[in-house]
Amino acid sequence: VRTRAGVTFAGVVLAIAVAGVVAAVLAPEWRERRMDRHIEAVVAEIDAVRARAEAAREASGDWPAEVEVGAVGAMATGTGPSPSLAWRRMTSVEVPPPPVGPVGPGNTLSSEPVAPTPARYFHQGTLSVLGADDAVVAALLTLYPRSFVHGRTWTLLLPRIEIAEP
Amino acid sequence: MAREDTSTPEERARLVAAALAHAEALDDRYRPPNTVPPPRWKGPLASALLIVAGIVAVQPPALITPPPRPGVPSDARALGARASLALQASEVEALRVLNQRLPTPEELGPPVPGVRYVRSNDRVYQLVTFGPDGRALVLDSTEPDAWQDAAVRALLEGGSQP
Repeated sequence: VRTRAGVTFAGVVLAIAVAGVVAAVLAPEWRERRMDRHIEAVVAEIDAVRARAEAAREASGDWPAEVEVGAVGAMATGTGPSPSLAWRRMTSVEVPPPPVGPVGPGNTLSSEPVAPTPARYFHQGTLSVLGADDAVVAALLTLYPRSFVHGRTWTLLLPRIEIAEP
Repeated sequence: MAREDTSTPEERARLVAAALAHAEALDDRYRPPNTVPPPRWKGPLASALLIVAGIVAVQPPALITPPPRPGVPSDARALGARASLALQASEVEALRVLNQRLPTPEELGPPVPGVRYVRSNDRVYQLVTFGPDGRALVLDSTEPDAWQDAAVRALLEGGSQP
């Protein structure tokens, strides 16, 4: 059977089969490149959010309570559900041990009053990527040493800043 | 001056064309059928290639498969579970010291992902999460630093700025 262009039906099927073999051979490499692009997109979004947070910190001296975050454009890279980012400012405290007077003769505690040291408060910026693929998380852990993963959430820890009081 | 019994060139050309068409029609009618079949190699070859493409797509051979990407090591997941507990505990403790009572879940805000804050009363709380092996890790308010080993402390406090 010939088409109007003079190509046989078998020729068309043969061309499709050849294209299928080529596509099947190249598919793993395409998938790898797509994942690389996806990781690059996640890293770009993380760096953008971090830059916004650091700009706010330089302006006010403290990590901002909220930072504008966006979703990673997974549709553009075609790697399934898009991970989302979340910014959070965590508060922590360091409470010094109770004051103890100098040790006197006979190894007994002195009754001299010692002024208590006040607690120190800190703010710490955290940036989480929720719902990230395992390969993405592994790459992020390598790229950002001060980060950890729990479940499907990867969290980047930014430096702690001592504050007067929350 | 042309004689009347002499045909014109146009008539002759028309007669010749008609004769040739008649002869071709007769040739077509009496030509023996072509009994030699066309070569049939494209169909089997296409089928074989489609099968190969399917096999390669479903189970690509090692030759064309890139090396697998490294996954997340289990010790990194275990560290992450402990760090999540310690991070959440540090915030609970900060609010407890500040307000002299435990924060309500609303005051605490959204918890660290994967960590559950269980508040028994104004003094006692637990933080619960699950390790990479599926076992529950519980941080009790009596020992808020229980999960803060050296690795967790280095992770949480590294790069502090006064």
